[in-house]
Amino acid sequence: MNKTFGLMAIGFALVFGAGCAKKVPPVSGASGMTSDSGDASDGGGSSSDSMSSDSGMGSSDDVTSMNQDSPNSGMSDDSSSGASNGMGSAMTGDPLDFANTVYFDYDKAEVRSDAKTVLSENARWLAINPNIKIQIEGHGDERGTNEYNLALGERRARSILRYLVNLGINESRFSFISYGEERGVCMDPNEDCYQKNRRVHFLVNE
Amino acid sequence: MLKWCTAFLLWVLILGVAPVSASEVFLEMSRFGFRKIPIAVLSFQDLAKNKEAVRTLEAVLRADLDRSHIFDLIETKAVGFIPNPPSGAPGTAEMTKASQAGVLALVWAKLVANGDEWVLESYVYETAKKEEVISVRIFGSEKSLRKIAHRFSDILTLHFTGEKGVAQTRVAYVSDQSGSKEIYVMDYDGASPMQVTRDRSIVLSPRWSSRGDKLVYTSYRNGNPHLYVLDMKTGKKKSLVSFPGLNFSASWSPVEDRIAFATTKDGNAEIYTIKSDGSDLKRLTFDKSDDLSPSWSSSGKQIAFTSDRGGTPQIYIMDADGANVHRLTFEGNYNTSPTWSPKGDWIAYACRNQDRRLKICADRADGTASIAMTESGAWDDESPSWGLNGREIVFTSNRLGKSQIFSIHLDGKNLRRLTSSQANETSPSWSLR
Repeated sequence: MNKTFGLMAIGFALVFGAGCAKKVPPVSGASGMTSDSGDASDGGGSSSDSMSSDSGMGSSDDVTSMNQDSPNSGMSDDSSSGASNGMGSAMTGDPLDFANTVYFDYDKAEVRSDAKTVLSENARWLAINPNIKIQIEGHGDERGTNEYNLALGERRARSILRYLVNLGINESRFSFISYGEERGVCMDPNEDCYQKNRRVHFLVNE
Repeated sequence: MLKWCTAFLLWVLILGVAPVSASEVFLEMSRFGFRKIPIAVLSFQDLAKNKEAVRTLEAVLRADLDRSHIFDLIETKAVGFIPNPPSGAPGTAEMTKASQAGVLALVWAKLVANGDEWVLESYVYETAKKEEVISVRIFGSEKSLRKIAHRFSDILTLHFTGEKGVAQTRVAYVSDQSGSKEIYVMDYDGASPMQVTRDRSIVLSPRWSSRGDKLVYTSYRNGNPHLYVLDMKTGKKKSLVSFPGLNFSASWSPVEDRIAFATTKDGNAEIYTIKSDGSDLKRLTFDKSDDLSPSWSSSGKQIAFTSDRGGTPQIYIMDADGANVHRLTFEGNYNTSPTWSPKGDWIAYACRNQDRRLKICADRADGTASIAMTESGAWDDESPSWGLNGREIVFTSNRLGKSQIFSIHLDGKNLRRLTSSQANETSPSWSLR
């Protein structure tokens, strides 16, 4: 477990670095999604949390500090494009790029049209990187009850998994988990924040 | 009206030898506006020479009675006479005056210390009869003062209603105060919170066993959400269900050692039951939509649950073997987290309004009535759990900012806040003993 997460952490750090180096300017018109810090915690926060739960505090601290060093801007592309513009992020097929987060409508697990664009890019990237395995994490916003949101999060994860498999990616490369509303990346009680949390996030396993 | 009520109440009290019918009548009345029992707590006699202890006992007992929704706590200065400590025991003259002042019962006690053992010699007087009706010695120690007072409160509740009180029960809940969600247990009034899991992960949905000695809950401690059972006496925990996918929303049968839960191992959430030793797994639902959050009826013969088989999440009821599924809720497009009253008559659940906000609703289990227990507002009320009296619930609300645990009665009155931390306190489960 430790080793996997360690590799993953390095992967994230590299990814963030790469994202910065060949940075595409953030999409304008993503008004309301201010939040470099919120977006940063999308990748950094949730990955470090899951590490703290499984591998103890030591490795969690390491990872956190690595993420703090990495720039936020790589993530802000990810989130704002998926959430509000339906536009894909800079997708180069570079092996160091990673699968982008996709977003959902309230109470829904259906793949949105903006998500389809992102998922096509993710599938291309997965095709180019055949050894990478992905954990698909389903999340919900804070509204609704915890237990129902767990089920909803899993429906979201499964619907994305099905979509990627239909795009030709081997199912054995995926695992999935639902965190319901337990791992929000944004805590304010407003729609911008709710939208950021209604997501499927991809975790690179190796 | 007052006289009629008083006469009626006396009739109930006199027929205390047949408590079942009497208390049922009384409680039905109390639900719909029947006058609470006017009661006064006289200053206790301090034979332990510990004023602080006596103050605590009196304060906890008064708070219990006030919280109960059964008693109308009358201030000492309004009892119709001037209490005369230290001997303090009311005589015939005092009881007559109290009766004239509308006080039906007087409560008094003496605290005695025999070394480390403390005894509260507790007395209750009914003023109309001019009689001492309860005389009981409650044993404890300096450390268990609150428990002694809670015990006295439950004795009063049992005497005047024929029902067990809730004052000695506990509430398990989830708090993120340590930085991750863990289970805590506190007294029913919010006192003495204690952390009982240290998984440093996500821990969700604790539910008490019917005996109140174990908790079943979901934890991500091994990465995937699995079910665990924690024995509160030994502190030992064991894994109960660890299928691939979600294993969650467990609920203990009130009549047998069996746990209902939901798992997504079949591709979507389905409800199963299993014995608490992990044997005898049975599948109850077979539906392509999600079925989750089971809650047993008091008889153990039926289970209420959430299902979105009709397109939106609604409350359904089935037999404990999965047969005879029927829908309970039809109002609104989001009704989840049912919890069946230990008395069997009501099912409380989280219901969503047009502003996408949750409040607590309750339906009669036979579908003949539906009420809102909490008011709508720019906040969410969720996770209801009944007290053993079937007349009040604990629930989570973020009406004051962070999520905290509150209690409220079935009639929507007597809202109380139980937790007041800077953290999020959620998902309460109220023990039945």
